[in-house]
Amino acid sequence: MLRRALLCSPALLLARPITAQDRLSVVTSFSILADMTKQIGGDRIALRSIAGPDQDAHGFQPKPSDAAGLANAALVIRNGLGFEGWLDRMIRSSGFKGRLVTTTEGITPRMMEAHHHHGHDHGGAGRRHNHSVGPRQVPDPHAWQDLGLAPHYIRNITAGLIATDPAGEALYRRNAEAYAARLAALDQWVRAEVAKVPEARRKIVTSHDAFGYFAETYGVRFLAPQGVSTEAEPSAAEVGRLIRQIRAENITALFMENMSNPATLQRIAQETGLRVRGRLFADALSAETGPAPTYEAMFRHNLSLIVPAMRGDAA
Amino acid sequence: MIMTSLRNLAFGAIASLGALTTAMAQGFTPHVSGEADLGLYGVSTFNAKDSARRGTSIYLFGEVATGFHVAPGLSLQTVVAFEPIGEGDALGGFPMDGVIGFRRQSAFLEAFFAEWKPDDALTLYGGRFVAPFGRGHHDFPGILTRIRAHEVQMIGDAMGVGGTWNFLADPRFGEHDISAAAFTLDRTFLSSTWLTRRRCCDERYERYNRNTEHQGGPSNNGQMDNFALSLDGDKFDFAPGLSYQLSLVSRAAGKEDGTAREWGYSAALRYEQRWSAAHRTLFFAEAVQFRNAEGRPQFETDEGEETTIAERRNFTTFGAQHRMDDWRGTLAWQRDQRKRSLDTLPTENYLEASIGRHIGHGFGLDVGYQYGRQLIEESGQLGTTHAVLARLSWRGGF
Repeated sequence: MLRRALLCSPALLLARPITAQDRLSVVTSFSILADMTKQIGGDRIALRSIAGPDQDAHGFQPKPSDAAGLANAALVIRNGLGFEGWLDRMIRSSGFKGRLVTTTEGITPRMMEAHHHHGHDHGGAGRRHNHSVGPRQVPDPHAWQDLGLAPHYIRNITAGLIATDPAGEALYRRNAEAYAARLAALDQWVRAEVAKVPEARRKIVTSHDAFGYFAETYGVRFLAPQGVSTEAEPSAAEVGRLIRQIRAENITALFMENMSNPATLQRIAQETGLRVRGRLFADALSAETGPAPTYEAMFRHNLSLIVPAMRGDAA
Repeated sequence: MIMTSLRNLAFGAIASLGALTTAMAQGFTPHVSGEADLGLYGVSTFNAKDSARRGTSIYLFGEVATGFHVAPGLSLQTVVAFEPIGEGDALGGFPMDGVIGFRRQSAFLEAFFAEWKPDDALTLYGGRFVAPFGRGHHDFPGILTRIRAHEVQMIGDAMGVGGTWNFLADPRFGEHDISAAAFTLDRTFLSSTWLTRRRCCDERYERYNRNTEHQGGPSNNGQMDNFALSLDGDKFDFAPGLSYQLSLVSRAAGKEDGTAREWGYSAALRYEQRWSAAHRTLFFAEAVQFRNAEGRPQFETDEGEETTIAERRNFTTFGAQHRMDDWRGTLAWQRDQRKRSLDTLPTENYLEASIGRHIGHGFGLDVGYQYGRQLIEESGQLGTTHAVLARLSWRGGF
């Protein structure tokens, strides 16, 4: 009897529901990575995203509680390509001893024009920086906007989870495969939706330049006054140039983003007589109750807005 | 020592060139980027006790900076500065009741150094640079406030090596950089000035061609025993708009004329209050002190007696700037006190009020008024000046 019980114990252990204490502590830098990780890690992980829904990860200002959460994490997942410089600095100072995964590892990034600046802010409030000019070309960090690159994200997250928690390998692999299949299908759907718009009309104006990968992959042209970072403010000349271009090219699709300052877009809308056609999600998901609480929902929501707008359909 | 340090930096740079092939495969191509920050200044002193200061002076002041990016993290940085090089010329000068334009206008290489960023937290550089001392010499708001700080506290012509390390980035305690540099006064051909119409023998050309040992001055000793240290921080959880700087510079006495090591200290604070997306107010303050200013130079009295001048110089700025969309209004006060053992100078004070705005295509226009209590050169006494200031500025990148 006792022997039978002992023989059964490993199976019992495996079948035991996972408690909060057993869960792998995982921290992601922003909400899109949090959703991807949740799809793969499921209930085996205790997940925390430092920049949460609707929060801008570009110039994020972490809180002391974020640093404490990071120090206790077994696994930290970041995008990389310069997207979350604040996270790298926080990792160095927090005493984090766990595993660090960079989801864009293995991706050849597209390069983009940086809104470069001299190493000082000409009378601003920030601290003094070295007096040098940054590069004009920087890697575009928004690689998640190309669903074709999603397998890299899935592979890196899965590898990180397995390396940190080998006991969960089977579950992680199963979830990753299912998720990859869903995203591949979503990729096909996005291509089909964009194909409904005549090529000449595939032009969109949005707050900042977060859709470079989407543009290259799906053949849509994005114009943005703000550049790659939501921290930079476009100059009056840049805005004026964009307004002239909107008029000249008869662009009808004008969108805001969920965490950008709307003032510039509103000014462009006023000047061009266009209506802002809605709010796209680029660098952050919405809250659970919003229209884009997951990575997949974000694509569906964005496409449901941009396709009719590019076609010039009345909304 | 300077050669060893430069050699080490070069080895580091060569090592990182190994990463160039990889970087190019990832889409990086070597390229040049740049930025210009130029201003056309007009200072019209309409009322002054010192008649030499009355009149209008027009000149160019600013810089064009470029970075040749060889590989990610490795670049060659160049800054060409444009300014009139005569004493006081960049602050209105001495138009003698007339109108002067671009007098002693010059251009020179302010910086020329290799910069290497092995990671996000560390920057190393070597070559000719501006030592990391003081905050306001490069970016005070206002019209003449920045130039005055530039004249008093900028430690230029530094040839050597330096680095900056982001040693703490914690949400509770903010982000902090420590910078250090060791240097000597650059006497190479890089220290030449350009565009000067006359090359010699004018009273107000204190540097008309290139630096020499004979001209003396602190750090002009050919040794790397001159150094600067600074601590900069911001992003405090409890005060998000606050930044600070503390710095120290120490320069050995010039070989030809100096008798003591010069020490400089500076402390600066800035705080920006954002009232709304369009409205923000910046408060800025900086105090700088030089002890044994200019290395306590030797001096010959009218009686032909050799002596030295001990000087303690205190330079202080307080100001506030309010910005509303493209508009800005600035009020600043500066005080320049020079306590000397001989040839005493009175303390000068300046109050500047200005208003300006961006006018499109990178251009900005500022107009203002300056009330000054300045030295009358003839009598050595203080005199009042009233001046109208104007600046047409342009900033652009390429």
